[in-house]
Amino acid sequence: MIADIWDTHGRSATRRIVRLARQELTPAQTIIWTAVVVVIVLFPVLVSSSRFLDVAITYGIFAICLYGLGFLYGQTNYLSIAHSALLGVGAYTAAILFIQAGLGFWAVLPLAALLAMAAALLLGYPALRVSGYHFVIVTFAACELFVLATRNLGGAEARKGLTGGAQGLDVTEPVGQIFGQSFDINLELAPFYYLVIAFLFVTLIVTQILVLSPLGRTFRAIRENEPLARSVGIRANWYKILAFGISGLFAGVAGALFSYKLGHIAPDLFNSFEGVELALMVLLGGSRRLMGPLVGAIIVGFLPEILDVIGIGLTPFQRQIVFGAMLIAVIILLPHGLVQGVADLYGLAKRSLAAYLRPPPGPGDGEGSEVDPPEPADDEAAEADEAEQEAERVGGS
Amino acid sequence: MTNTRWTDLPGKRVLLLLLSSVVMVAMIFAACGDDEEQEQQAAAEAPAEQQEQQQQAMQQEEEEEVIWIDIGVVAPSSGSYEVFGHTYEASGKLVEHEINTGAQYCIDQGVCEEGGGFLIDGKLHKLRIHFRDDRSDINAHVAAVRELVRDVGIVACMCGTPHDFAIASAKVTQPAKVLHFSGSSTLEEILTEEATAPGGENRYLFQTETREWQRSGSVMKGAVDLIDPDSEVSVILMLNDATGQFLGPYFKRALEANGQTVPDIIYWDPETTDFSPLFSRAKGHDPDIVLFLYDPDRAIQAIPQALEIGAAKSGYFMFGIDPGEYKKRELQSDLPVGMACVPICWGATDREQAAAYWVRYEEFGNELRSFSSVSLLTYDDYYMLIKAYQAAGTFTDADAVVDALLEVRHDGVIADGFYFDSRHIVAHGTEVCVSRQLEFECQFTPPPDEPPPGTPGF
Repeated sequence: MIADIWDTHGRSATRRIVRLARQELTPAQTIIWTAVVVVIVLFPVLVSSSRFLDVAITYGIFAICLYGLGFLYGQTNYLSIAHSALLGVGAYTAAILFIQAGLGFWAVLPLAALLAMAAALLLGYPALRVSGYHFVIVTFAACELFVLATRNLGGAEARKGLTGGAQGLDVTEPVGQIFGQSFDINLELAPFYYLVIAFLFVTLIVTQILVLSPLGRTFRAIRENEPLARSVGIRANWYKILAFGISGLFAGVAGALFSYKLGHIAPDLFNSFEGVELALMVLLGGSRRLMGPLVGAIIVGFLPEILDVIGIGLTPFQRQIVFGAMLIAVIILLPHGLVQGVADLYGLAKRSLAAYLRPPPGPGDGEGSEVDPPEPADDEAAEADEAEQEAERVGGS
Repeated sequence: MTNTRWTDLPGKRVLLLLLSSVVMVAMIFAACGDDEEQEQQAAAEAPAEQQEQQQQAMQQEEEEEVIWIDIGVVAPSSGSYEVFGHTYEASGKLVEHEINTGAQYCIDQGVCEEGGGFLIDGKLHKLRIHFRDDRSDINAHVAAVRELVRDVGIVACMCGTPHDFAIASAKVTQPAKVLHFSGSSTLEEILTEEATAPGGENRYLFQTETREWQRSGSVMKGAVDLIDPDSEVSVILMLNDATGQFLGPYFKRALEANGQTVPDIIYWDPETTDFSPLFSRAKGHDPDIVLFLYDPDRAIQAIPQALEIGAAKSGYFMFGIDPGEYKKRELQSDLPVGMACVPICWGATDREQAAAYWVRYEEFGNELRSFSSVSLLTYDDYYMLIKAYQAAGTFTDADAVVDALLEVRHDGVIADGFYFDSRHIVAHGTEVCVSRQLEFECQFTPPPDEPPPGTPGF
């Protein structure tokens, strides 16, 4: 059975990744990706501020969760607010297993991921029966339910209970060593930063494998036209629940890392407001571009910090208003996210420049003799076509 | 029909380029012109500048003899906790000014020199306080504390309110041996004898608010005395968060120690706006006093609902409301309404030192608001810390400073003979006031000598 799954999904996905890697990048893409990788790798060296490095670690962890959330939203068009609660499931699993069973980070990591995935599957089963705003409200309510449960578990003596009530739980040990490398964030920030970056890199690869796999195409088929997907035999509900479960897995990993980063967790860290903030990051960066969630996390994480530095003369309240106004502007002006927006602007600028520099048609040139080469097909449209073909294939098999 | 753009015409394109060039040249000339004007102005102002430079050089020489002590303040100046967060900055700036300029209060305390600053081991020192706004975000809070500890090199931090923030930032300050002062009364659970002993995990952590059995004891005694000494039944409405869950049992025991029966503690969630069902539930117990803790802004919203329902027979009590704020709101009640500040009110206080403090606080440009009293949870501690530096003869040896701080007895704003006990917790009373038709009566009740039965750890 495993061999069958590998044959149908694994090999196909691997082939696609290899194809993607071999794909020639344009000079602009090469420069951007090189710059991104260099900045990420050298960030602890380039930035001397511990505050910025701390923010990078926190939002790097959130970015892991965002790739899960972005996968769900980008592939199925369902925007969940419950991911802060799923992050909380991962964080609480790590903290409770540390306190109750003395298990270290590496032992609890898979358990935290699996439990968050299980929680997502459990929530997804009823929640994904509705869509659009209704789904958002259901996930919002789930988030509040999580906070209420963790805050009150144990009744009047909640703070002595399993979840520590509103006072939460402490994780007093650092992440265990690997190859002799310590990850105690209170001693040194850089190793923990690179640990988070390693997790982020793995997350990025895994989400790309999933997106490019037949499974990803099935999700997109459902996203683009669910009735059509159903008509060809795709069990849309099950696939949507699976997508939600997969996204929960990433949230679980991020949650475990978060509890070890902060050393203390409490219910309010995972409330619906935090869920909205996670959703905002995905919307800002964009969910269908590889860099989207990462850019969203960077904006929400660093923009207030940068405003603190450059906004001298503004009161904290004024800075918050400026921050809010900038977010609203980005969402209104760039509805598909900042990354897509920048790519669109770049394309537009390139086309405009080409048109500007092109000599005017001579008198002998007939109209339409210099026909613009056809615009490259939009990725999304191409994906939709491909998804339809895939839907046919999956449905027919 | 062709869509020929005007820029496609060669003549227009040349014109556009020419226009662009003219604009650029004009901008360059304008910039150069500014420089020339600036140079002329600078030449005219040269003698004045030279004088200024000489003065600055003299000041620099003087300041070179001053040793600066870096202290951090990380608090919410924006966001949901701003209501009390701003008071940390207010008291910090006031203390920095008083100490560095040698204000009369500082001299009276025997801390400051006439010209400002204070001596440690015969050398002049001054305070440099670094403020950071954590935006009521725990992640921003921890990041800011980490920056101050690792990059700025602070030796003490007034940081960490509320509870979660204090616990999380203590994980940064304690390994770095930075003295950490927090006004969160919930810290006493981790400030054990073992944890605060030399080598303990919270050796450098201090709670600037009195122990909860002491605070709840003095508050509830004052409330019962002032509202109705003959009352028998009280019901508590408590905010359901980390602090509220911690406070609930303490206030229940304190009421019982003052002769009350407490049939119910009703926890209300932070998002609650309609308190009518909760007050109806309270009324079902036929209470003499209904107590509302601990969010003053919500209390102001909630108490009119309680009055409409008639939840209590003798009176109401609101924790955290300042009589000054109450007067501003002109809340009308036939029954007496008690209120307690954290720890001393600005609107009506009987303590002379506190009244003088509020005058200084306002004169310095700080606004008196509902939670301004929270500023007192750090103000005295700065002076105690400096006295400890002076006694230890150093501010860099954290262990020596902690030992000295535990010996300091300070006649401050909050109390006389103010000190940190062996578990690094202060002890002080709390002021309770009662309004009868907007006429205020206040009582500063010292903490009880013994904790009531059932208090954890006793």
